[in-house]
Amino acid sequence: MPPTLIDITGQWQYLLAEMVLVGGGIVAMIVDLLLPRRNKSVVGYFSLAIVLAAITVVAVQMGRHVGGYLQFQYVGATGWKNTVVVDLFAQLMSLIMLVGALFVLVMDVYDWRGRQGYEGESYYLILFATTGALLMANSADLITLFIGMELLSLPSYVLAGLHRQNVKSNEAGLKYFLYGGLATAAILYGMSFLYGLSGTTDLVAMPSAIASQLPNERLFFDIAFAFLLLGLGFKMAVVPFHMWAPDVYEGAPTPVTAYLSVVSKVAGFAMATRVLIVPFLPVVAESTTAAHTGLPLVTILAIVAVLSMLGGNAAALRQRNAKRLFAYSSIAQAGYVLVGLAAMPGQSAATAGSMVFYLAVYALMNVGAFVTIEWVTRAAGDESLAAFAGLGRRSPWMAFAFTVCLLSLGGFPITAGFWGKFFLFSFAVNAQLSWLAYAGMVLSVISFVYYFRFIRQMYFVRPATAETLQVDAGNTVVLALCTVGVLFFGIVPNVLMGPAQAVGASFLSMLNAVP
Amino acid sequence: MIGLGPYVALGAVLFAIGAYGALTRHNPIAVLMCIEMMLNAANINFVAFSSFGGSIDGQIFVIFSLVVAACEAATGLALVLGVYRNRDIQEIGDMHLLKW
Repeated sequence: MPPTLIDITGQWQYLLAEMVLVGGGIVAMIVDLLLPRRNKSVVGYFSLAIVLAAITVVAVQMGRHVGGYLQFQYVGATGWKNTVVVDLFAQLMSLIMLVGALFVLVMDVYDWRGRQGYEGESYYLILFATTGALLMANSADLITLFIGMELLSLPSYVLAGLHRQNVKSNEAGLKYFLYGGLATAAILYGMSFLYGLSGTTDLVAMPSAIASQLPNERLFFDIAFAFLLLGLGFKMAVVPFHMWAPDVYEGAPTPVTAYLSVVSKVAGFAMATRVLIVPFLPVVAESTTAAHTGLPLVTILAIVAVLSMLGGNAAALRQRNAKRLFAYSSIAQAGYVLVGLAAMPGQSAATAGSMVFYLAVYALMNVGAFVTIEWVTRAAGDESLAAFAGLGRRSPWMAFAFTVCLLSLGGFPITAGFWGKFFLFSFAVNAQLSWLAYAGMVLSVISFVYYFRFIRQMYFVRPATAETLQVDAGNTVVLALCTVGVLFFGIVPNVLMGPAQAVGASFLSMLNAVP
Repeated sequence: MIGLGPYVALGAVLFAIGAYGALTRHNPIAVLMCIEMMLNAANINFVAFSSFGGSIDGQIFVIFSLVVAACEAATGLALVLGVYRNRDIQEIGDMHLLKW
């Protein structure tokens, strides 16, 4: 076969979901320019339809067991290069992020009612950011991974600062940009060492290439790992790289906060799995031998996990602003997921599944919580905990849904959050990290203190006004779906854990499918 | 003939200068410039590894990362302008509405 620049053999279907999102985003951008100012919500409904279409694409591909690599060839090169992979891990992560984006878009459409500003922009920026998030989960190459990461980050900076007349939103956008830019630089620098060591940007070929280099270049692996962990730690918002999160979460518009805490975070973990765990598996394996001289990588991940759970939960205890409290809560939640990442080198197949399970559940319960926060704080014009006073009387169903989400975030039995933590911690025990599992259990008990503060306000404090809180149809549906999902997966976790366990197998097959 | 070592060392020095500047400068635009410097340190690494390692992937990566850096600078300047228009701010330290 003569070498061609791009030789595609019917593989574009692996990028179909991303193409739907980008195409829809471009159309939305043009439509937004043509529409008069009062009709911008049309762009929002159009974006909702696009995200639904992308969800359909991913679901149909999953149903048909579509999977494989998008490959191409450079001019004159002999081998094929992987750029995008579609495996079960990528598909499930994509579904989680798309559902999260869908719910956030519904919140956003209603958030803009009665507000002036860059309404159309907020919808298509969410579409573009979600494209980047999907690319991060799908990438089989460092270049794709980096592009995906930036495609998620750049719209997110703008989204955080979108309320241009609001000084807090300005400040959130700029702070997010400055911290995010530093993280990007650290990740790129770490990637350059990963490339230098393996001689390829192909993530599929990387583990074996790295294994052959290992004994000599151990120092440079540690450097690459350190910079990647630094940058990804920012993106996932884990202690000690979390400083931006509370400021940005508080200052950004509430739907954007929900987006950052769900979609960006899930994308960060997808990327961490692809670049921080898989290429380093041979390095970790070498660490268990007697001859190793480098850093204990698993222990470092475990320490970051403990710091994150400790720092997030402890700082959340003293917060009075609901959005800021949830920023710290999501830092602690990222710590629990990091327990899964730390256990992954020892128990890859099963732990990848439990991480996906927890992220799916986390997306549901956190979106549910943010829908409530959005409505309550907006109606009260106050973001403090006191705004929730008497919600049990003013809007009993909403208070019930919020209670379910809060209990699930804390890990209360018969909610999905309990099973998520149960799976994560039990795999950590299997991976000889029992101390980490015990630390996680103890620290998640602390989190009940601040989650119960909301519940106390809702049911045991008199409301300032007696009037009922009216919620519109779209947000009611989102909140109901989140609550039902949390309860459903809490009662029958196997429905979700089954596919999630299969993720582990698909993951290992990617590792073994070294050409 | 210069070996790989000096190139990687140059990259490391550039990255360190950029990181120091980004963490100590008080002007958001200066911080932005330092971040660009850190990105270019990584680019030097990529080109050096590519020309000594024999695969072209690293040089392709640099083209992509340059484009991304340009987009990032554009976004960043817009955000800085947005803050300047609303408030009389010279330094990052003046941004303290959001704290603890």
